[in-house]
Amino acid sequence: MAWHKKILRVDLTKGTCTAEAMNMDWAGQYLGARGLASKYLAEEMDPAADALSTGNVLIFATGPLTGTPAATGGRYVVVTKGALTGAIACSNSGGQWGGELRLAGWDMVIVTGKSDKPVYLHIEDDDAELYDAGGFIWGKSVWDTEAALKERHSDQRIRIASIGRAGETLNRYACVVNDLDRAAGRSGVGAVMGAKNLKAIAVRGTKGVAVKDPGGFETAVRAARDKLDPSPDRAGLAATGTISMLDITQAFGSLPTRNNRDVQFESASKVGAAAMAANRRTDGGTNLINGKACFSCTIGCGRVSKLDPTHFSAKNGERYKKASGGLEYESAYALAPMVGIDDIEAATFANQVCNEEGMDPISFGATLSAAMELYETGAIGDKETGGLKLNFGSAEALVESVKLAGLGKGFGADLGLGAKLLCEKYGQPDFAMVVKGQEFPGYDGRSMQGMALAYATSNRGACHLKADPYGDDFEGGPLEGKAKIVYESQNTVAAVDSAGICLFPMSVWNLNDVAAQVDAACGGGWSAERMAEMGERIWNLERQFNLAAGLTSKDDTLPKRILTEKLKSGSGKGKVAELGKMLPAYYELRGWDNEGVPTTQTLQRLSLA
Amino acid sequence: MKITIKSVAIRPPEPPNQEREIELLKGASVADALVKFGLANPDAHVTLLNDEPVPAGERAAKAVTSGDVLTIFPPIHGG
Repeated sequence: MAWHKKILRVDLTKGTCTAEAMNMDWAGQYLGARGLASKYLAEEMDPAADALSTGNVLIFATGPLTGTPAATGGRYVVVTKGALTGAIACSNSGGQWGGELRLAGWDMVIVTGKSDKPVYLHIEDDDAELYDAGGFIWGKSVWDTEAALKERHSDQRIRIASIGRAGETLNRYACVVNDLDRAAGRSGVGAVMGAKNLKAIAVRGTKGVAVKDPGGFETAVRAARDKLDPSPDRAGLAATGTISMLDITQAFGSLPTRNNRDVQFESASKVGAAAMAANRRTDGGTNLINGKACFSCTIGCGRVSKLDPTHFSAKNGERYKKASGGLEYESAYALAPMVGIDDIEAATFANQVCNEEGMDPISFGATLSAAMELYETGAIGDKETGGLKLNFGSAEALVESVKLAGLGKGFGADLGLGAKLLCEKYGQPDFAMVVKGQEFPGYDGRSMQGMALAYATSNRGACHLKADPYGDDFEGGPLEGKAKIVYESQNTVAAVDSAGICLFPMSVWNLNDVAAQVDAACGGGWSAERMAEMGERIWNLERQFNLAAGLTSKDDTLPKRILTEKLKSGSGKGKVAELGKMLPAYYELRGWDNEGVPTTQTLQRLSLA
Repeated sequence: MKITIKSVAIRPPEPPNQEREIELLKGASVADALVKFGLANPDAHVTLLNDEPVPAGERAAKAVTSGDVLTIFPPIHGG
């Protein structure tokens, strides 16, 4: 079957790497990746432990479809207690690393304890060993770390997941970057890795992945691809990437602008898909060079960009003039409209530095926008910023700030706190556009009420990828239907995340398509109904972790601005987020009490009690 | 009468973003405007009439008036 049934356990305190059998009873209940890793996390750590303490557990997990020819079957997750949120974190990445780990014969890597010195983990099929990182790659960027590891191990085909200097300096939204520009981006999983003194995991696999029913699997994969490959949705993502969403949120009036003070950006056309593809006046080149795909992906939404060599940010070094990962919707929103900046080259540079130093561009951009509001309202001044003029719209401020945050230097240390702690530090907590301490993605909940509920209830904090209210929100669906849409799609997403594939095919597929592939790969009778029930089980398991960590229903909320300040334009003009009208119905559908606690009956129904 | 149609992030082979005026008979509906615009599979797209969403099931009954702005885009999921 598709599982290797094999986990690599790395005890950093002891400096040991040990193979152990995967718990197949749990695999039957949680499948893999997000679900199974969350189960291991909940079983192995005290949820109340500090995220940056030795007691936190850091899990890199694949799903049974990772590393197979299933379309988009290249995903892995990093599951831990988030440094940004204090809640359970599940951060998902594509690229090639997850597929490589599976090809090496492992389903999961569980990292416990803390090394007394910086180390990295090298995996080559069955062999796994810790090496000193001090005096070698510790203190280096993600990009330099990848180059150094490939050279030391004399293999350009090694796949590497690492932290940059943001992770080393415990930036709260540090991420884990693999393959230079793909990232397990959210919730500060890179800071947890840095706190453990683990710099990188380098993997080389040559073993492959077997499936339970090869003929049935080929049939299921072909059927799914026959739906996905000719679809307009796939063609659109391949042609323009996710950044075309910026034109939509601008038109709809849900594009967070200047720290959510506005939802339409007057210069959106300068930082969207058309601007990426347009010939520049300066050098005649284009920002967008090409698209690219992750392991086994038939969509190819990734972007490759090249910075304008005449742009002022290019003076920071030759490395920034080379082709590398380009803007996607979330990074574009956060590094342009959210900070009021209409300079696509400055945003591209900032995105490059986020990749280079291992920072989540969403959280960085939204934190900088909060800092800009603090600065413009006088809550902080040049003394606090070290002379940085943090005005909305300043491309120079963006470029200087991202460098400082990546290194944790000067005001960059403050920016590395994330918006919540930053705004609390300077006495303006309401300026932080966060849920559970995690910064908003690129949708304003006042014009997208389903998204408002999805943000408020997401177990990892504000998130655009843990539910799918998009279609109904854009259609202006009634408030009464939002709770059901969010509840059902949260369960679906949790199931898909546990299979090891991307969410993007789900605009064309449904759970039957996923279940057919999972069942052929794994055996055991996986149906859409079983997948949905598993998704609900996972959601409740995550909820239980958060409750044990000290979160309560009071954390299922939104910033005061979103709840009380009416929108000034767009389809939601005059509206606020109506969370109070949606949350009780959501709790009821979930089978939770008025305090947001799963009832005994719910837990028993889902085999959680 | 004339109305303005803005199409946004439309899938290939259509151009992604267009803005143009179209001529309609008095009493025309949103559905009529979409037919006139010539977009393939309009039901798979979101429409906003002067910033207000008009669900697919209501487009035949929703009248447009001179000077209206009709915005069309595909409902992308996530980004």
